[in-house]
Amino acid sequence: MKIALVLPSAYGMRGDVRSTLNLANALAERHEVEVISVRRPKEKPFFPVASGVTMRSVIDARPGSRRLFPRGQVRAEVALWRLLRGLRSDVIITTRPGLGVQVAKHAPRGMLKIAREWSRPAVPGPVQRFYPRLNAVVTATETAEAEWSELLEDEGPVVHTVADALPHGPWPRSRMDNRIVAAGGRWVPVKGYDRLIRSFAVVADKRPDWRLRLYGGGPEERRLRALVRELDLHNHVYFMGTTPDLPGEFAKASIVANTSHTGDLGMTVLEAMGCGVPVVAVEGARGPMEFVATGYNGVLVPEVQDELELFAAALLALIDDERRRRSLAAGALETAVRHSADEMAQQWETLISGLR
Amino acid sequence: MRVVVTDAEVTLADVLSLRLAIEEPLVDGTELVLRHRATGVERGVLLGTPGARASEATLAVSLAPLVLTAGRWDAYLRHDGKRMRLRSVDPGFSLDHLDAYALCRRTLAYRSYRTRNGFLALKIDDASPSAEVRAIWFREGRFEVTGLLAFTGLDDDDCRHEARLALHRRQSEDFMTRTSATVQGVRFHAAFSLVDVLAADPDGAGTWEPSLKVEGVPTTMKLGSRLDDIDGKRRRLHYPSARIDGVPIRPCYTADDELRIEVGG
Repeated sequence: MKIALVLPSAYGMRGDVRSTLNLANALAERHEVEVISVRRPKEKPFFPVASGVTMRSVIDARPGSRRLFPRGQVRAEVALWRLLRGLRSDVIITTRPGLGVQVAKHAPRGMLKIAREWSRPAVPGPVQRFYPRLNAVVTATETAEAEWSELLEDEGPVVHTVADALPHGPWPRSRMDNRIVAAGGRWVPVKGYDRLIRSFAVVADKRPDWRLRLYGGGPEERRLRALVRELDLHNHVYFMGTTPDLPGEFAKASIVANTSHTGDLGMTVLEAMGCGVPVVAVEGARGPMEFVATGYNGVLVPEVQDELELFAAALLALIDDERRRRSLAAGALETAVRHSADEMAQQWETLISGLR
Repeated sequence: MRVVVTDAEVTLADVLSLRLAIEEPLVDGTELVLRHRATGVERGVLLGTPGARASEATLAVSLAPLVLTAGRWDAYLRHDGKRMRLRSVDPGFSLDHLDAYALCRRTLAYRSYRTRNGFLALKIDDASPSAEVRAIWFREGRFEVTGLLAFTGLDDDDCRHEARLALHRRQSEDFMTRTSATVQGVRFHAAFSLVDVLAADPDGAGTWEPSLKVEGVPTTMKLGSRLDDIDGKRRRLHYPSARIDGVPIRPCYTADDELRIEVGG
């Protein structure tokens, strides 16, 4: 079977890119898989791509590239339209509502069209109008499934849920003996790293031998560094930068923290669980809420006004209770097994064969 | 044959101790090969004959007789000329163990670690007595630094040692300032007045290099931070700066993680 996955960019460091490439790598073992990246800003993707996966792009935005669009074209929509019309795939999977609409409008009729969704669309009008032409919508979480079913009502395609996939093992395993709290992801306001740093100030005050390591990169870096200076945490907070091996770095930590409020996906949370590290997350975040269960594989902090103190208290409680940390780590590993790429690829295959 | 290292550690006696998860028992005549990443030099150790069929094997390889040089060494298993790189799921070290490892006087420091693509490797550094910085503050017009002494052979007890912290001006030995430091066991604490640093420097701008001299340790120790897995602290740790008479003073690390005090713009 020929499967095409369409992404806005397959080259960046984002949870949805990680999840989609993991799925592509797993599917490539039995199928012909092509990843279509609308923009190609870099030479190589940030995350690993299996050798069986073909990469293609519409807009070549690499530095030094002589031609932005394919020969004779000047508009992105037209270039995408031409690519979709000429596509010879059995299945096409889109990863953004905008791309889903384009595929619904222009992809050849015989092709199985599936939209992969994580969160509600920002502009629901076109989605409600064009999504009925798709064969299925596949959400990552059950909350998103309920939202999408409500949005598309009776006319839309059936909404299914298949969780995000973790890549093939062997996965690094934490020994839980370093006094490190880690967090990873893009340093953007929505991820709430400022809240994490403020909570960690309380932790560092009570347990000064613990360190916070922040992995990733992004526009918030200067603001976060200024906050660290202001709170006098320069000995405790390390800005580790981006790493191609986030699981390897999480495996050196004993706790992974996630303060994102609107996290729809929580790929880093899943990766932490793959390493056997318990997660402390905020209850409002939809992604983590789906697979973090307090007392089983992590701690969910309720979203209330004095949340910073509660978050710090949750971190401190875990820091002080090594036995609980280890039992949560065992639960985290069990959760990760349920998200293995093989398992998820099989679910996708069953879903696709059911639709054909 | 699938072999995965589930536990790796270089013990205090420089023995590489490995636990392997194996699908089939290791064949007689299997060798553990260490290969220097830059020069390609190889050192092999014949592994003992395995006993009963098992899904796990433990290895203990003494590293000193292998005459390994500084650098990074990748680990392979070799049998009948076929070589297989060892995958690892263990980070290979714990930070507390690294501190304990640095208590002895050593010339070479071995550390096992997991590479970024998931293989077992050894990192070997030339070790000399050094002062490992753990925390830095500016308090009440003074610069304070604490940490622990590494590879000095001193015991981690409550015994006090005479110590002096010196600041040298880079590129010129003429300017220097000295202050006494507290060393208890292997932990040190030193503080100096920022006004004194400014007064000792007629130009008002330059880089100062701190060093520690401790009674019982023959060499002068440079202050740095190398006893963990974080390389490139210059980028990762930004210390705040203090302003004395309008001149900014800022501690920072060099490219090879040694501490410097930058005075002036």
